[in-house]
Parts: sequence; C-alpha cells; structure tokens
Amino acid sequence: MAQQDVLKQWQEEMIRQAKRTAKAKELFLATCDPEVGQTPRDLIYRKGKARLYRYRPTAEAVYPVPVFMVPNLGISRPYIFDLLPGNSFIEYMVKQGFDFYLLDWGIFGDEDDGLTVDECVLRILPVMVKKVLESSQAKEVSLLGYCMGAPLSACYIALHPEAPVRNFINMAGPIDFEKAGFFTTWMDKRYFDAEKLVDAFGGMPADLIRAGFKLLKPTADLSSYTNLWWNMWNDRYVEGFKALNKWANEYMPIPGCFFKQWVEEFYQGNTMVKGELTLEGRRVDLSNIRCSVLVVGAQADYIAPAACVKAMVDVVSSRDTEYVELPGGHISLIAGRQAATVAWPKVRGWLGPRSQ
Amino acid sequence: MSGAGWTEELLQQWKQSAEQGIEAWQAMLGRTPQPNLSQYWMPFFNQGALLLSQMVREGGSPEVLQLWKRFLDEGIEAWSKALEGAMASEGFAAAFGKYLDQYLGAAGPVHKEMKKAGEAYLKALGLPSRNQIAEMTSQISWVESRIEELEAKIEGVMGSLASLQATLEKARREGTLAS
Repeated sequence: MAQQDVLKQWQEEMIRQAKRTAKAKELFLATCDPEVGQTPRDLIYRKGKARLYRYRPTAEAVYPVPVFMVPNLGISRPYIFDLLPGNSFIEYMVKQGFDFYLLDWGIFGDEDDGLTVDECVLRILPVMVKKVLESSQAKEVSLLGYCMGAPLSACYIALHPEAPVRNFINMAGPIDFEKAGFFTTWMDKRYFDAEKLVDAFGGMPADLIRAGFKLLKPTADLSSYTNLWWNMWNDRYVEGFKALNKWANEYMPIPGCFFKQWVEEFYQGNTMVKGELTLEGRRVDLSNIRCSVLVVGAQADYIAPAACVKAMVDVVSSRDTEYVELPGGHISLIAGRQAATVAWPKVRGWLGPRSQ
Repeated sequence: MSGAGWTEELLQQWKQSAEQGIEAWQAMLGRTPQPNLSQYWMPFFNQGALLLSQMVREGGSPEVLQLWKRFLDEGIEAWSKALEGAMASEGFAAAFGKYLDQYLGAAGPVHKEMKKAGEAYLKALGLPSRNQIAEMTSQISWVESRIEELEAKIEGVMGSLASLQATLEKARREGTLAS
C-alpha cells in the first residue's frame, strides 16, 4: 500500500475515532429517550388493558382487506414494530397501502394475574376482530401473529372457523413446542415448576424474563456494544441503537394464570399442536384453519426456532400455504435494516394480492 | 513488519484467548452458576487495545483495525457457539432448574412478607392496598365485560328488529299482512 494511501486511511480512522468519542459522551450522558412509535395512529377500542390502534392511511389506494397484527403478550413492548421513522414495519405497511391495526395487550400488573389464555382467545381477540371490521367497514380481515401472538391467533381462528379471516401470517410464532430449542429444554417439567413461580410472585416478573432472555444469548450484549463502538461515528446507526436498546431493556411481566397455562399447556404438554388443548371446554383443532397461510421462520431464531414455527403448515387444512425461512433472528426478522429489505417486502408481496 | 506476520500473530492470540475463556466457562458450568462474565471478556478487549496502541506506535496499516474487528466478531461467535452447546444440555437445564428452585424458595417468602408489610403500612395510613385496587380493577373489568355483552345483545335485538321490519314492509307491499 502506498504511503499516501496509508496516511489517508489513518486520517479517516482518526476522524472516525474522534466522532466515536464525541458520540460516546453524548450517548452516555443523554437523559432523553429516543422517540419511538411515531407513525400516526388512533385508539379504536380498549378492553381491560388491551388497546386496539388503527394507523392512519397514507397511501393513495388502500387494500380493502385490513391487517390486524397480534403481537406477544407481556415480555416486551410492541413499539418494536414502529421503532423509528424509516425503520418501522408498520410505517412500511401503511405506506404500501394496508389498512393496519395493532393490538397492544398492555402492561400488566397484579390485578391482571387472573388473565388466562382462554380469555385472550375467546374474549379479547373476537371483540378486537369485530372492532377492526366495524372500523374499516371491511367484510374480512388478515391476521398477522408475531411470536406468542401467532399461536394465540391460531387458537382464535381454529375455535372460530366462521370468523371472517381471509389470510393468516405467522411470523416467528412457535407452534410445535417440542422443537422450541432452549426454552423447551429449560422449561421441561422435570426442571421448571411454573406453579411454584406463580405462587411466589403472582405472575412472571419482568426481571426474571430479562434474566431468561439474557441467558438465551449471553454474548448478545457484548456483540451489540462491540458493533456500537465500531459504528459510533455513524449518526444513523447510533440513533437506531438507542431506540433498539431502549426496547431491549424494557421487559414486561406476564400475568400469573396466563404464564402457568402457557408453560404447562404449550411448552410442557405441547397440547396445541397435538390437538389436545381445550379452552373453556372447547378443543382447539388447528385443522379448522382453512384460510390462506404464510409462515415465516428466521434462520437464527433462538426463541422460536424455524422448525417449531414451520410446523404450522403441516397442521392446517388450508390449500394456500407457504413457508419461508428468512435470514435473521427473532427480532431482526421484523425490525432493522435486514428486515426492511427481506421480510417486509416478502409479507407485502404475499399479502397484497390476497387483500384485494 | 509484514502484514502476514501480524495476521498470524493476531489469529493465534485470539484463538488462545477464546480457548481459555471457553474452558473457564465450561469449568464454571459444573459449579454454582454465579458467573462474573466480564473477567472472561476482558482479555479480548485488552488484547485489542494493546495491539491498537502498538500499531499506532509502529505505523501499521489501518486495515489491521478491520482485522481486529473481524477477529473480535469471530471470537464472540465462537464463544456464543460454545455457550449454546453447553446451555442446550439437560445438565444445564437441571442446574438452572435447581438454582431457580432455590431462588424461589428464598425469594418467594420474602416477596410475600414484603407484600404483607406493604399492605399493613397502607392500611395504617388509611390508603387502599394493592389488593383492594386490584380487586376494584377486576370489578371494573367485569362491569366492562357485562356492558360488552349487553351491547352485543342490543345489537342482536336491533338486527332482529330490522329484519322483522323489513319482513313487515315486504308483507305490507305484497298485501299479505293480516290485519
């Protein structure tokens, strides 16, 4: 390498280093939180802690079939789907012409410890779907379940075969819990007593959820801080990191009864996929699902490994099914630069023609 | 100083560091899991910082910085894979379950006692307790549900009335309505 080139590269590196130092100071001394969830929306309906939001359409032409997104309950906040302008799944979908609705299950407290899976599937979801249809004046809806929201939505469709659900998208939602990787092993009934935990704390505390997720990938923080240092000179990267870091450290508790049922029925018994799960005495039969189904798994998902997500296509009766396995992890499947170029266009491309 | 020499030296040092760290972690998994991870990550950063300052002094190519970052990423990935293997084991799950059991045995009663003490304190101040607020919230939720049920029933009745009205209108038009 010519001496001049080396000198030039060093100069560039020195400038970057100066920017890194300045940014680091700014980052660690900053007191204000990044502004997340900025896509304009309206509160359509509330039931208990659950809130239904409709995002204001911005596209000239809007698909007649609205999209209703059901995320995970507890664990984390749903603003990950609308992190920052230009880095938001919801903003993208709205711009693509989808009439987009999001269910926010809410932040649970002691008063919610009696909430059950039954109530979510048989009381909350049916009302929310009805409100989506009323608000959009549509006859059918597309359900998009992410993570825990996918099996809950699947239970809802299976128990309401008459419901006007035209399409169902399962994004990183565990279905066959025997293949759910670390969590299947850790929550094996020989080692994990959900009842004892609920008895001790009333619900699953946010701090324990944090510990569990940190344990899942102990090198994640190290890796993200290394990348932050490397990209500290880049304003856009730092902005994204701050927002994502805020989200990644904001864990939510899970109500006691729900958690116990979730662990014992889904993880330990794997009853849903076996057709043995009953909610309020009604058996959940996933073969009742006949709408078009798209299943999206992530290649490096530790929370819901691709194999346990993929199981969905084998248990439904739908004629129109598709399974795709995309690069990324549980979160990077739906948030971040890679998601914007891979997963979002895939969802749009599949859903668009089926939303006419 | 040749580029190949640097690369080789770096690679060896990182490999050694990663191996030592992995060994330490695996040894630790056999004991009570209360790890202080920073002591195992530190060698990576210390070596990186040392090499960086050495490079600046000796005027090496900045490409080595890229190399260092790559080694760092690869080191973390190697760690991640090693930990993954250890943590996916039944042994880890059993140890984790035992640890959680002990924690719940100790923290559960403390949590309950603290709750009781908090309740007593609020009662002494004449303030509603968490349980009372929780109870009230549940009642509000119940009232909300009842309202929703009534709304649904009213909607049903309105629907029936509308269809009845339509039937009557039709019968009236056709002259089949009995007087």
